[in-house]
Amino acid sequence: MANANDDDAKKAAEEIEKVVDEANAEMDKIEKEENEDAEAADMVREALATETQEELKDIEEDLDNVDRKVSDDQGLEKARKEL
Amino acid sequence: MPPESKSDPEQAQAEAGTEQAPEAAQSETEKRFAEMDPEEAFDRVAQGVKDAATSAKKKAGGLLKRLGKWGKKKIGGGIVKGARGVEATADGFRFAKDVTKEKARKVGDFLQHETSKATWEKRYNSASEAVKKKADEYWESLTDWDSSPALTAGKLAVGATVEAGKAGARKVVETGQAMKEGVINTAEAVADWKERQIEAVQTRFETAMDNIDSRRESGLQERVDRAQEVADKLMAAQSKVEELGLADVPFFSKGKKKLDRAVKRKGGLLAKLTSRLKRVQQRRAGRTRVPQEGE
Repeated sequence: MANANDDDAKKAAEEIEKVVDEANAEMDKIEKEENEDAEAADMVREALATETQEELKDIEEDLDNVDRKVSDDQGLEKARKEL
Repeated sequence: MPPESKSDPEQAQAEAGTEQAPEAAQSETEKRFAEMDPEEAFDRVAQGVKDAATSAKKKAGGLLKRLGKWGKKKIGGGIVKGARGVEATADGFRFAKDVTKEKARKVGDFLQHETSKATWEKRYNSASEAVKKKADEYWESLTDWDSSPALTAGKLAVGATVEAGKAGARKVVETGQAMKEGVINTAEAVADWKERQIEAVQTRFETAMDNIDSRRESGLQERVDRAQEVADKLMAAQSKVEELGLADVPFFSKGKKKLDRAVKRKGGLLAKLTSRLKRVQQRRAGRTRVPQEGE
């Protein structure tokens, strides 16, 4: 055990506390950055998903139009009348 | 309509003398026919065959109608449903359980199979055969009337109408074939188009997602490295405490508690960052290969 009057020990203890303070400050910084980055990424992902879902909806609507066009193009009524 | 007595081949055959005396049957037939105006006989025979042709055309028309409904349902239902089954979520691009790109692409092949040439030849033969059968019935019932001049006209009418019926049936087939080609081409075009559209959306989506993850990965890696440096410093500090025997000295009790809390915190932070980094890396590895710039 270190001597309570040992100046070197006290100095070392102070150095260690300084290291701990710096470590905590760095961990605060890392956590803050990580939280902000994760939140931003989630927001971008959500926005991207919404935008893509809209694009798929547009395709669906286009397909509905194609469906109607197919019915017209085949001219089934016309074909039956010609028979 | 044809005379009732001649619309039933069996009756006509019986009248023609299979079971009765030939002379008597022929005499009765000729007698009835002789009473008829030749033009009326012609018209009646022709009308009978026309009815048969109409019936055959209706039958073929029904087939077309069913094919049309079926094709529309396949295209309108199957492929559109395919597009509805695709979802983009924050977790990724997802296809519904029972709807896949592969399934949509196969619609064209399915149509090709279902409306095959063999099927349509069968339909043509069926329609054509129906006309021929009915005409043959009339033809047979008139076999014994050769002596009548009106029969010559009647037979010509039968022959002409059979040909007309066949032409009608052929038209059915041609129309059906054209429609089939149209359905198949459209279905294939729609399936291809849908696949290209969805693939383009998926590629854009996954590229963008990968860019986000790539940025996340490098950021996380940098923070993990920094957290590891912090961990190394704290471990060095712990070693120094051990080395100097500071753990139990009163003047360092507060410092020791602070160090222990920082060590514990460091462990939690490293675990959280490492876990997130691993998840991002796994997500990137599992993602469909994203085209690189310039590709």
